[in-house]
Amino acid sequence: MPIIRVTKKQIEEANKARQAALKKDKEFRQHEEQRQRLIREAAATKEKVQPS
Amino acid sequence: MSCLDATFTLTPRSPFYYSALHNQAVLFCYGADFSYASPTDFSSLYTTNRFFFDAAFASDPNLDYTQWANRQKARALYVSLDLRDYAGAQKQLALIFGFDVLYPPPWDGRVLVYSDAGLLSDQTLIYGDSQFLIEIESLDLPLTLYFIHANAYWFFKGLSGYVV
Repeated sequence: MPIIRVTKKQIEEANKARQAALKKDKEFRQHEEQRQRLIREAAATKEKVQPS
Repeated sequence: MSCLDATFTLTPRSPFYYSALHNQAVLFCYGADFSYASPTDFSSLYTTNRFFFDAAFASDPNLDYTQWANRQKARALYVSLDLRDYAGAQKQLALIFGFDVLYPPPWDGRVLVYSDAGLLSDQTLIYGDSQFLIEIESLDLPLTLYFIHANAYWFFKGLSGYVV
């Protein structure tokens, strides 16, 4: 089976790049805010979202 | 022999794992396809709990998908992982990406695996195979992975995460 390894350093770089992109790009920031809103709403109604 | 239970499994019909604010994994789909006949019609895909990606809408593999302007136009799956509740325990994550490829060679599927910092892997999806593994070394920080549809006809079946 193919294996992709993601190192701790790559994860740190991804977080830095993400913060920079959120600061720089208004459309991306709005999209991410909407995504976080969806996650919060789904968390609040978890039983409706996740079928038993 | 006993098998390890997945910490979470995300599928098209069950895309949300939430145990706590820092123990969550969420799948987002930004564009998938369907046709008029089985196995790629909407009803079949719902029944088999899969997303279908059509070659006609594959993204250009030469673009840089860390750029939002490129990513927003691509057929893509996003996975948001925040498992920081495990960080102190020095845990890692094994993520199994499950797929089916519709046609034999030369119609291998292709998916570009990105983080916000860059391309992690240009993954070929071979007919008859069903999964590849992503090993995530640290859970100290949240991580978003992007899976960009880049060739051929394939199905996404799900992502299973094993905290180990």
